[in-house]
Amino acid sequence: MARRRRRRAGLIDTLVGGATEVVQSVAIEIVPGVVKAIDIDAVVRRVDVQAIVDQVDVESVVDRVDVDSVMDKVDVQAVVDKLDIQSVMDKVDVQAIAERVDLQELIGRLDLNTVLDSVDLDALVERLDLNRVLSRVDLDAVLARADLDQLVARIDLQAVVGRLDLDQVVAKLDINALLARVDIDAILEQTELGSLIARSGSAVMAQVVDTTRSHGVTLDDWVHRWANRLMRRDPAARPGGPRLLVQSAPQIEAAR
Amino acid sequence: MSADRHLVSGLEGHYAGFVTRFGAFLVDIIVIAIVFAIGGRVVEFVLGILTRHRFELSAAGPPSWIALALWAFVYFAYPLAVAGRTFGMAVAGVRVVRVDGSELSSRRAIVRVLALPLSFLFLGLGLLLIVLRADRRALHDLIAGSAVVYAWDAKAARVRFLTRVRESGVAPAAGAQQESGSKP
Repeated sequence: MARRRRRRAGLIDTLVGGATEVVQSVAIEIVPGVVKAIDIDAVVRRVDVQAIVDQVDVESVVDRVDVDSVMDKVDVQAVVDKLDIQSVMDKVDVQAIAERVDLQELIGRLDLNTVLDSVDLDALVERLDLNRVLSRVDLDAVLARADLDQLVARIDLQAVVGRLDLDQVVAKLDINALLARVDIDAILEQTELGSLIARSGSAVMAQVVDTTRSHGVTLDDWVHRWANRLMRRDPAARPGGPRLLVQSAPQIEAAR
Repeated sequence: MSADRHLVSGLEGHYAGFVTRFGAFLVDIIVIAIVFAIGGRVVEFVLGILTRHRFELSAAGPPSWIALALWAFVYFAYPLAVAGRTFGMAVAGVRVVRVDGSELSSRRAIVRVLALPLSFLFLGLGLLLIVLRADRRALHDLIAGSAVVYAWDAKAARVRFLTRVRESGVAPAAGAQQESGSKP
């Protein structure tokens, strides 16, 4: 009895194993074709992205995701190429998402340079109506929540700018309207730009004073040499100084 | 080259030359004129309100000249007595000391300022002494027992210059040579 039951179980295992291999091979043959046949844009159009986004606790999802490892695995450029990014952006309430995400923490966890390296920024910019997206975002609120200094310090801005067709970006942006909405004073408070401007101003002033004094001393020297010739003194003789000052500066004498 | 190195190492504490001193004096004269003009306008405005008459300081004659002379005296004497230099001298990088190099006393500062006009007499003969004398002292310096020396830290200036050159990535050869030959 027990032997018969064991024989039946072995038969079922063999059948299931065989069926799995068949399904596996069929899947391998069929799935790429199916994936190629899917029009992602059509799927995206049919999905109510906003409703899904509203249902998701974005904060908890973001907390649980190892953003860098995900970004490493994803061919960002391929995804970006296949996506009608404008239609997606139109359907999403960007402002609501921006408000719900702890932007600072997300920025802290993301290797922005890697992400930026893998995206063809020019192509993305060309396909996106930046004005339409930006008009829906409360820039001041977003900027107030981000530590701009920390963000900027981690991005290889030179490399990003080098890859970007800035003329194209600027041409598409209504900069006046954008700037009118930004609280410049608040940004200046967050960055060290103010002190940078002050430092460069004082450096320029110091340079002007140094240069002027240098020219003055050169002319002094010239007049002194001519006076020495006139008075039949040694033309190369240098002007001395008061006893206490010249003696109290041994390094000056040593350099003679 | 050795002469250049000497100049770069520092003329700080050495007698200042005619051009630098004249530049400092010019700055002082400009400041005196500007401040006096602004102050004069303020006085005219205040007196106009108090007396309810239009008041012009330039039409006042001798009182306005006396006011200018007093203002110039205070402008020169006070900073000289306190810090040993006027604003113009600070800009030019010079200061006034006693003939032995010690600090200038208030009394000597006042004597020096009072004697300053004497140097302008006889076609500025007293000022010509700056060029002719080895210690570059003018007539009013001789009277007050003072001397004018460079107070400019040329070493710091050269460090600043080299830093600027390094930051801008330009080879210092041409610029440094030009500057090194002229630093005190």
